[in-house]
Amino acid sequence: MTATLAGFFDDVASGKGLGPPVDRPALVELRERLTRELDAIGAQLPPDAPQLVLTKSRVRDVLACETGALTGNEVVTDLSPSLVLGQLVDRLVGTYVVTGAVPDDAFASAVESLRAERNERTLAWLDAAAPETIAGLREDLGDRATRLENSWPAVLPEWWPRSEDAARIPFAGGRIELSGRFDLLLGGRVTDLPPLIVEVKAGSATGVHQPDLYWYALLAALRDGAAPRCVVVWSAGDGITTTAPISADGLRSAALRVIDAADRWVALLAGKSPSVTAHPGCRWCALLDVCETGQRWQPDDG
Amino acid sequence: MADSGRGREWRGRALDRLSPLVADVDAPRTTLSWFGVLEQLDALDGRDDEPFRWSALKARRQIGLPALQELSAAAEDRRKMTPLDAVTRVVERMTAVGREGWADRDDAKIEDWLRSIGDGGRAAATRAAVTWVTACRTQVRWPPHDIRARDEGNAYATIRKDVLSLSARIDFGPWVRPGVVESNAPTPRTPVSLGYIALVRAVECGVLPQAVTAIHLASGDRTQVETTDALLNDILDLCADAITRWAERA
Repeated sequence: MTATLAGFFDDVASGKGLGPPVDRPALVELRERLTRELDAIGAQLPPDAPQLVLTKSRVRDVLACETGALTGNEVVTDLSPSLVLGQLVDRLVGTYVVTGAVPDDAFASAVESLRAERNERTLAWLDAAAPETIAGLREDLGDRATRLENSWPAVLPEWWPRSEDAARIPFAGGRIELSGRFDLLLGGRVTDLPPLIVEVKAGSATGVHQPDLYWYALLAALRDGAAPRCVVVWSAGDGITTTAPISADGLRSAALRVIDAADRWVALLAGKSPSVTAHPGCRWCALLDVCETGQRWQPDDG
Repeated sequence: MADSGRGREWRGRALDRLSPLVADVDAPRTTLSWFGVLEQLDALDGRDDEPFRWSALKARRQIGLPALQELSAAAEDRRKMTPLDAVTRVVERMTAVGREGWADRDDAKIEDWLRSIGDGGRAAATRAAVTWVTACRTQVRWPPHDIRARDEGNAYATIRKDVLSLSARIDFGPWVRPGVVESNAPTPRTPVSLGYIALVRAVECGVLPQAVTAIHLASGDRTQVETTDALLNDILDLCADAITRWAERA
């Protein structure tokens, strides 16, 4: 954990905080293994089943609790102030990255970004929100803008920043797809900076889930043919930077999770009865009111 | 070299097959793109009936292709330029000539839209285009042949002059080996979509590309098809089906 993101980049400049470079044969082997295993798993998908799209949350959810994952798959999460704040923070950071400055009115700027993206759902939510909700969002975003200003370095064009970069990696002839979006990619290729992924969280650093960071690294490695040297999470709620240096072992671990998750999803889609497992996410599960296992979960259970 | 003998042959074959299908149609002049062809075949997953409006996502290619031209020129001249530099330059140039207050008008040009969306909106358009350009820059062979911005890459196959044309878009590469940028991963339909580009070019000018390439930004893949007779026959069948349906509905 580093105090500020600027501090992390100072470390990177002096060669600290990065995973060892992952060589090309290791990546080729990883892709071959994923291809072999996911092709075999994809062949078990029922013929009438739609493409299985594995996202970060679908991998995490099905490994945590199959019943909860199936439920979550069918529920469209309502927008809430915290979810909208997350979207506003993403726009704020994206604007900082391309303009080099925090806008004077962070809220108005972020809403302009949402309009340019035609993000109608969030715009409608904002239009319908009570004045005190908007005032609260403005205040929270203002706090995060101050943290951004205090903890981020200048993001140089020479680092080739690219935000909201999508990755979709097909396997099993397209029946299975790994899908994700990086908040910010930096460096690599012809730049002087090692390849890095920066993920932005609107909340605090306590919610960072390490295997999620390896997931991002795996996606980038598969798409770009080069592994990021580190995945960094900047938490706008407390300004803390969490880092996960990436190694070949980290990527293998992420690949094994993907294979396990794909196997479970395909079995569920083929009609297997879902198991129930208590885990920290039970607190937010739509089934909590009727799930005794979930109700029994205590923080000490891990 | 592209084989103009095969190109002329395929031009003749395509027109002999497709022109009679619209010989008796009385309808306003229409141009079908590849998506229009798929739409006629009811082969699109979702249909967007909303009028066209610019968005950061829809603008990224229009901003990105001239930005790639800037980057390519800079590489040629040995000037240092980053994707962000190039995109910023293009966005500023477009914004300067746009009209204010046109963000949601049907006939807005991209310049009008950029002018009308405020600094936060332009930042969103800039970051979407930078991400697109950077992905292209790392996936096309650099420096690239002929980046085709705006209308430079359009190809039109006239089936009946006053009634129907087919259109295709080429983003980069020489005409004999053209390429397109696809945002998504390849699908089973990708080879046919690339063959369609070759057929449209052959009908347009009687010259058949040898191969057509797509780079897929989301997956890092590259699809290349050789323009074999088998592929072109499949595409001609598909176009004939689509045009028959279009003629029935017209």
